[in-house]
Order: sequence, then structure tokens, then C-alpha cells
Amino acid sequence: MKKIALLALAATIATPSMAQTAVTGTINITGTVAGKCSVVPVSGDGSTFTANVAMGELAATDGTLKATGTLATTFGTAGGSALSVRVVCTTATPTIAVDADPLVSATAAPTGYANTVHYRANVLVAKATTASQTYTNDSDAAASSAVSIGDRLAATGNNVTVSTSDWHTPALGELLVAATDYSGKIVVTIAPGA
Amino acid sequence: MVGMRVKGLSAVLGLLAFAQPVLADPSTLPSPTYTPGSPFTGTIKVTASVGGACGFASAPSDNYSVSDIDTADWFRQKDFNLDCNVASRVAVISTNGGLKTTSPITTGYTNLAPYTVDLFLQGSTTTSSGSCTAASLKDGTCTDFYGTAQIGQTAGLRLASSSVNIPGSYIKLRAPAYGFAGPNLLINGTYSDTLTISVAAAP
Repeated sequence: MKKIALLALAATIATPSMAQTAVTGTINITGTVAGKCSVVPVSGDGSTFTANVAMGELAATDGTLKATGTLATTFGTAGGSALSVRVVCTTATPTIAVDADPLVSATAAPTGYANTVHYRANVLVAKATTASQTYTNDSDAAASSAVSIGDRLAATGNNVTVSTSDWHTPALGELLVAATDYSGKIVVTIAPGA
Repeated sequence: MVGMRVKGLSAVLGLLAFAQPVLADPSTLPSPTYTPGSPFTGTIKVTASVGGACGFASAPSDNYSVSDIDTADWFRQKDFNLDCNVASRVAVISTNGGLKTTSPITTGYTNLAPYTVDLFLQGSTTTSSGSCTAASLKDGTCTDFYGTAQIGQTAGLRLASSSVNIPGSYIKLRAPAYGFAGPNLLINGTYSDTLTISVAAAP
């Protein structure tokens, strides 16, 4: 009787080897992508792109400004691929501002002559989900204010293309003064926005 | 007389309580003898074993922050020491499968930045290493060390030798600058992920 009781007790107390539970560690990692816009391929700090466009002869044979269509074509041809770039913005609604400055010569222009040539800068922006849109600025007007593009920029390919139109002198029919220093510029500013 | 028998039994119970015995087969126990009028005496053979002990001497736990993952290479390394007197397995799971932000995305953009996890285990006589993408540490396609290490299971990178507080083991997280090559562009925001690293004695 005692033997039976003792064996039963031994069976109750003895336990098999216990399985271990896994021990864990935890690594939490955070990273950031700042709101930014870059021109790619990145050159320098990626914040600017530059195209130099040599327009050549501006005057027609009668001394007045060539036809606007002719000059617009010349601008596109002379600028070539440099007028189309890929801009990457990490933000949802970047902004754009366009500022066109006229071509001006330092040579004085008497009455009936002009040393200034105006034009309209057109910046076509391809968007991610909505239709492309053109943002403009006339060189004889103030620079445009920054406006929201309202969409992400198209993610692939060149998405900003610059062209010109509406070439004209301050007064219709003015003769251009002879000079080799006519120069102007178009500044396109694309920023991350809010 | 009854009191003496109880005392003898208590002594036996004391032995059992302090030991970590493997379950003894009652049929193999020697039979106690009992002679009326004499003290109760008995002998119980107790055997025991110690299972493999395995854990982290210094756990691979930390919080890291990296900046501008779209334009800058980065890596972070966490050193740790195993505390395993047997072979072990270390396994890893990623919560997000990459650094992820919750902001919505549109065509051509992404809110998930990939990175790679390298694992190196230093043992007393052997080493072991593997490498997995964070994505594969979420979807389970990483064959090197995805999962949760558990006794008796094969998930995790196996270290064949013991490793008791030996320095040299590490887990490294790394990624090149995400860049602009695509296929998708990273959107701005704060990205995050959590890696859970587990260790257990290897089968």
C-alpha cells in the first residue's frame, strides 16, 4: 500500500524538461524624406537647370522684328533638348512661378527704334494624374506669382518644357537697333509648396 | 511508528522538489521495503537534465533615425551578444517590409523605401551570416532568417556552436540612396519600420 502511494507521488512531482520560449529584441527605425524639388539627372546641388539659347538675327530684312512664329521656332530649335527637363518634387502639390525678361540691348534706341524685344514664356508642366498645364509670363509684365500645380509632377520623363510665343517690340513696327548684345532670360521656379 | 514513516517520506519529497528531473518511469524505480516494526526506508533514483539555455546577453534593441533616405546612403548596425550554451537560431521579422510612410501616393510614386538586413552570428567555434531584404522579412520569402525563433523549429539563421556572451554578432540595416531612377519616386514624409529579432536554442 505504501509502495503504491510513493510511486504515484513520484510520478506527480517529476516533470519533463520545459521548452524555452524565444527571447526577442526590437529595432525601431525611422527615416525622412524632406519636401524638395530637384532637377534630374542631378548636376551640382540639383536645384537649377540652365539652357543657353542663341536666337541669332532678330530683325527681318526690313529692319523690323521677325515674325513671332519664326522667332518661336528659332527659340525651340536653338534651345533643343535643353528646353525640356525632368523635375522631381517629393511633395504632393509643388508650386511654379515663371518670370520672363525681355531681350534688351544697351544700345540707345531713338524714336521709332527699339532696343527691346518682348515675348511670352510658356512652361508646359506634365502632371501625375491630371492633364498637362501651361504656365505663362509675358516679358513686358511682372513676374507671375507662385501658384500651386495642384498635382504631383509626372514621375517619369521630362515634365517641364519651355517655349516662347508672341514675340514683339514695345511698339508695333519699330525698327531694331543694330547690336550684338541683346539678351534676356526666363526663370522658372518650381518649389515643394506646402 | 507512523510518525517515522512520514518523516522518511518527507525526505524523499525534499529531493524531488530540488531536482529538475526528467519524468521517471515508475516501473524502473526500486521497490521500497517495509518490515513491520522497523522504520520505513526507500530509495528513489532521480535523474535530471538541463535543457539548452539560449537568449541574448545583450539584446539587439535600439531606436534609429536616418535622414533624407531619397538622396543619401545609410546604414545602422546593432551589435549584440548571444547567451546560448547550445546551437541557436536567430530570426527576424519586419513589420512594414521597408521604411513606410502613411501618406497617400499616386501613379509613379511610392511610400515604401526598401532596405537590406544583414545578420552575422559569432559563435565559440563557428560563425553564420545571411542577408535579406526588409520586404522578404515581411512576406516570408527570405530564406536566411525570416520568422520567429522557437525551440524545435527551423526558422532563423542557425549558429552551430554555442555562444555565451561572445562579442561579434550584429544586425545591420542598410540602403543606398533611393534616388530618382524609379520605378517609383519616394514622397516626402516620415518613414518607419520595426524589426523583431528572436533567438532560441536550435533543434
